[in-house]
Amino acid sequence: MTFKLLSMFFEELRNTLVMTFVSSFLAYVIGIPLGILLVIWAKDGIRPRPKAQEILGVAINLVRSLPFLILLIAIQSFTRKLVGTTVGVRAIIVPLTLASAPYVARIVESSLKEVDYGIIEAAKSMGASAWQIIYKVLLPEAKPSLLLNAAIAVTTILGYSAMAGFVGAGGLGAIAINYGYYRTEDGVMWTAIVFLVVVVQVIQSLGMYLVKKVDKRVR
Amino acid sequence: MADLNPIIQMKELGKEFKGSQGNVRALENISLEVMPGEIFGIIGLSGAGKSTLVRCMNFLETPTEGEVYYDGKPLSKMKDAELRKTRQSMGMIFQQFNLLAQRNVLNNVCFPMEIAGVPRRQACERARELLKLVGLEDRETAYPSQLSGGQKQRVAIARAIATNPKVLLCDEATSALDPNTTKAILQLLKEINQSMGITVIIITHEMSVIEAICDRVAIIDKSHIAEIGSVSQVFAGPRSKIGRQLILGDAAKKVEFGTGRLFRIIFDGLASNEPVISNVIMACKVPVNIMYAATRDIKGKAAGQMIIELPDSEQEIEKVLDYLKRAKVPYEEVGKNDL
Repeated sequence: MTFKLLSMFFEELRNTLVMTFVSSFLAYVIGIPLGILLVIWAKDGIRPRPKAQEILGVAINLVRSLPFLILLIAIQSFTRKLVGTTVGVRAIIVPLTLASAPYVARIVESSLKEVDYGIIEAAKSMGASAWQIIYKVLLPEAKPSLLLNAAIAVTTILGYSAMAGFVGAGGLGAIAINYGYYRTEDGVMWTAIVFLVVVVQVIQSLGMYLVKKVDKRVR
Repeated sequence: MADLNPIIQMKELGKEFKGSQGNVRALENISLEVMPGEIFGIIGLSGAGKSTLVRCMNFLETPTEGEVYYDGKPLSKMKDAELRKTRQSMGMIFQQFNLLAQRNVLNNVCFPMEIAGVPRRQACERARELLKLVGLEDRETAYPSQLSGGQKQRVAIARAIATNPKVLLCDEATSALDPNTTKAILQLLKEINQSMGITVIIITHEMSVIEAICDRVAIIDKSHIAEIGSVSQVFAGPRSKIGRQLILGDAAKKVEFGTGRLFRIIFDGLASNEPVISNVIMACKVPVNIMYAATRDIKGKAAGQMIIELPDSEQEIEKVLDYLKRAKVPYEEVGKNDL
């Protein structure tokens, strides 16, 4: 393998990681508050607003039901308005974030729901406000589960990012399309696959390691 | 205590849960007063409504009827902030301890003080004091998963009294513990009650918990208060069917009763030093069959009950009852289904 090809791999790996992590970060910025609302607005939540919760849930499902490639194309004009272009790494971050945020909201919801109701009740009995229950009980107690789910979310978003090749955003997915699909250079394609596998493994292992480190419950 | 005002008062309280299969009445027409400084027990079988009742005291459950007064102030009239403030003066402990699993022991005890806005340093100092009180000063960096059930409940107690509450609500606090640990935890609750003057309200399904430390007791059955009174009174002469059931326990049920008539004799502490039964037999020359007997130590006084069977002869029964009356031993006839 030539040095040129190898440096291309590292360049595209960098693009993949930038797309994945920036989008994941933004998806969490949007998804965590939405996940919290899904939990506290639920019928048995600490601030029950079942109607609003239902509407939010439907909206989240709506976005989630769109396949990523369709969403990417459908919101092109919105993407252009927001970042001024529809090609490149910056352009892919917009649909990637939008597609991931509802997914993140749902997994945050499921993590927070794992927190034992008894602990919330105990906090309530001490006179904790809803806000105190969220940031002193729900989030810290759900931390291990949130981290574990974050590893899953990031690897899923990495999967979405492979489609960035279609809009000229580069990344390892683009190598697979350009070399593997159009030129049928199998060797290059398989190398891209190996890179992706390694990245996913690293992210997953890092997630597991962090969970083990922060979780104070003995297993 | 008679001239004091109740710290917690419930007036004609009711609670109905809306369910998909119709509404469930968990509590109905509950009126009771808890006096400052006493240890008040609430006992009932599971499903009787006692856990809902204790949750109405700090409005974790909002009653659908009636009113709860804390220190004379109606809880239902309080704004959210005021209610939260009031809850800080009522600590609570639970059957499942409900400690924060991701915080160590010290930070668990600091938790209510964080909520109340106590500065960190002061909170730590107080938390260490409390951990010493409950005998866990050497475990402050341990996490709940590293503690035994009894230790967890000690941490929970330290946490519940951290903000100097006037009342401590205990919801089945010893039900998940073994008998020895239960005894130690009850002892700790009693110490806290006596040294700090904290009113303790204990929810339980075990009579032994009530007799160990409570001053007064309310018996809850099927969403209602079946009876209420001082522990020695209720133990000596339970007036309700559920009261007799709880006090006599299931032991009485298992006995195969004969054909004669049954009488319950109550020992109120004075008579228990006298050999009543042998006196009866010798004085009346009537065969007496003892079906069930139990004596308990309640606040240092022996209180006992005995169920005896007398032969099916009007004359002989008359003789025995007459003797009991003269000896001032209270008695009552019981049916076989009353037990």
